Amino acid sequence: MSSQSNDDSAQREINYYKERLKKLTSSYMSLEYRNSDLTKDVLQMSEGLKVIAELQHEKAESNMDQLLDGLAESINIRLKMDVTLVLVPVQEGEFVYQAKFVKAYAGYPVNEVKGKLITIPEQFFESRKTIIFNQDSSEDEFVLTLLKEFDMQQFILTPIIHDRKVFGYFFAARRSQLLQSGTGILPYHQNILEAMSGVVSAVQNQIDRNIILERLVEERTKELKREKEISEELLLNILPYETTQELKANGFAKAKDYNVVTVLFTDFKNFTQFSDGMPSHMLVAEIDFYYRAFDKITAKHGIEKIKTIGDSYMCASGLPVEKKRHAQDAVLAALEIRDFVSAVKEERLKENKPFFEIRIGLHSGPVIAGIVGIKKFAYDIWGDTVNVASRMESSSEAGKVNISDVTYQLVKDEFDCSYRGKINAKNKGDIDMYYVERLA
Amino acid sequence: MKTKVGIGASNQTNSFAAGKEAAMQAMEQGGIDRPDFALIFCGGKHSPEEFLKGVNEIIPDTPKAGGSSFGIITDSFIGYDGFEVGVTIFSSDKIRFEIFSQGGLNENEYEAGQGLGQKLQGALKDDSRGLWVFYDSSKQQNPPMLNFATPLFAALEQYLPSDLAVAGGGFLSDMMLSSTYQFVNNEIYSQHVVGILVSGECKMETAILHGCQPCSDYITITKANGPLVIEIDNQPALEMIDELLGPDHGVKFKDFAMNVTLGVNRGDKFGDFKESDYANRLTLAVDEGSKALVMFEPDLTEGTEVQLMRRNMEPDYVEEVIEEVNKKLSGSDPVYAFYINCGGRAKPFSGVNFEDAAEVQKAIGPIPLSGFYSGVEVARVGQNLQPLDWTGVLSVLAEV
Repeated sequence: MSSQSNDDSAQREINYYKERLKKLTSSYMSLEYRNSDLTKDVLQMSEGLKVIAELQHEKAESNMDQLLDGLAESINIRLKMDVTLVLVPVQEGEFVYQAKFVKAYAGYPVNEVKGKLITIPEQFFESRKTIIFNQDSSEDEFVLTLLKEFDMQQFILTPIIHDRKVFGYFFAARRSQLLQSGTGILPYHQNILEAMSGVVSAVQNQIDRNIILERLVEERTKELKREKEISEELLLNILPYETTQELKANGFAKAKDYNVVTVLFTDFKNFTQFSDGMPSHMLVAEIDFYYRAFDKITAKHGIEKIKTIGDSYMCASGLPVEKKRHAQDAVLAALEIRDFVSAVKEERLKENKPFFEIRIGLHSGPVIAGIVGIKKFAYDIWGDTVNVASRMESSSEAGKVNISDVTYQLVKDEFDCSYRGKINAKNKGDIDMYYVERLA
Repeated sequence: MKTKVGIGASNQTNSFAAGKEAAMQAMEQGGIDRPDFALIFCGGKHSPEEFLKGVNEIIPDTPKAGGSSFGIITDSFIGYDGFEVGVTIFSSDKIRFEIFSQGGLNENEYEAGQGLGQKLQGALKDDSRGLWVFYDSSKQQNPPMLNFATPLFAALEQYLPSDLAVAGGGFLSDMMLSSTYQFVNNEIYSQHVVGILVSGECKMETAILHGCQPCSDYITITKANGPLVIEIDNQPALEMIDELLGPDHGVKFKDFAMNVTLGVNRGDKFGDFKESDYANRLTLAVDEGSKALVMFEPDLTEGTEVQLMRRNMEPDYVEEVIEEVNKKLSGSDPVYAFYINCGGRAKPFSGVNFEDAAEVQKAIGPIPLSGFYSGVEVARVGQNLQPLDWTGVLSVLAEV
């Protein structure tokens, strides 16, 4: 073989391997470039999935505004958008949406865009579709509106569906790149935004449930409060306020010694005789009529009603909170009760109706007060003072307020009283007694 | 007291909040109560004014330098979405940081380099050990045009001692060539070049991380104009690259930007492959009208032989380079590593299955690390300051 032929052969071999190398290189490089594009997508997809994964930790009671603000921030950063916002309806059932939660690069007119109103075409609204726009131009009026209002070149608009209705829209957009063509907005962006929309819906469901629960709790709380008020009112009817507080705080209330209180008894004259000819329900109604009036009078003068025993009404002044003017207040109440019964008598006489007359007696002295038993609590007072007061009532006369000397000494400066002399009281011997006529 | 370094990062969309958060993190993470100097960087989607205000909520009186970036790197964070910020705070009795700046970059890169060089020359001390340099990659004009690093650093190096370690980066904020900025204390500049002179009882080592190799024959640039490579082997450059990529490669011409890299072998043309012999040039953009590649630098002139480069598919090179740096620093106490990495090397752009900066995070170990993604990287190749593309420049600062 000639040298020329050897050279040709060697050159052919070199050319062959060069061509092979070129083909290998080109296929390799082409793969590398595609790999580069895929890597971008995979990275973005994985970022999107991370955002969705992080949403699992979102508290069920999340505030929706905070959630949407956080989602807009995540979408903008993690999906490498230039602008992200949420369109929320201005009024439910209407197609006008407001741009809120705007996240954008520096230089974007965030304040101008925030609050912009976008009218969603009814047909698009009903379709619940997503728009992905990467083209250079469009003839769709709604797309043109979005491009113009938000000044972006590529965008995705995805509905946030809740309860089979459009709750709002995610709008995420990019600027056109100068240096590279970029991949634009891709279908997986839609998948990620739809998944986010699902989370928004789940959270909204929870918020809705919470609202219903809160309403129920509020209603139940009101009911309970009312029930509690009724219970307390009932309790206050039975026990003095201070004793109810002591019972609530400790579960029991101690009996308490009082150095001096004034005890008042009333009794209807000829009650038995009166009641004989009257149906029992009418009798009860009559007593109720008088006792309601007595309750008002004693409450007005700060006197504690103790109990009623048949036609006898018993109350005490100066407990459970001690007070200096216990005797004066008790006498004032007694006079008022006397006058009330007398006034009723006058009216009934005119109408030729039956009426009661009343005896009233008061005595002042020490008592022990407290509650006893574990059922049907009753606040009561004990001591000789109570017995003497009762005797004062029985030693009184119809339409009179009879007081003991002890009480007289306490009130004599303020009331006109007439001395009755020493009068025998059952089991108590002779006691100085006075009728109280009026305020001095 | 040993030098303390604290590093913080954030990627909130609110620029003020992001700056404040990153600065707070840096103070806490470094256990710093006397901040002496801070490196601060923010992504292109942030407002530099608001970011600086946020940082100044925490370190208002601390000298600081930095600027806009394509992305942020820290010990535990890597981001290049435009909303990331990074703050590195130093507190040291042994190391001093002095900031110098020079404007007019867009008017004349060479003169800007001279201006900064003169300022630095006047400040150089016997114990000056290193220099970090940042500048705007883009002139921010329409049509877009770049500030070239070649004349800038050719001018600057005349004023610097040859043993001064240098690492630098050209700011690029995004794929839209949006405005970039420089922070100099509490001022925000544009079209400036900033130098941070590092002096004291310290040592700085720099290393270049390429991680790429040729994947084509030698091809010759037959027509060029500044940064425009118009024809290769007498074919329109875009068509030539298109042919090299083979049929059905599916890559649009426009996407050659930040992808296509041409390497110049400065060593033995047919010798064994030696990465350090290669200077890479990354395509910034394409001019589809003239079917030309627009390179970051204007030094691929007519007659230059280049090869199409591809990334290493394995990240082994990172560990090897960092081992070499550690060897050089043996006997000293590394306190900080600063990594300036090309934006085109970020995972979504590089076509490889690993994140180069993450490999640096691993290999650098416990040394506090921060850095940013850039458009152009600068380091010494031999005695000369060399603008590099598609490269990572790592500088490690150590107390001695």
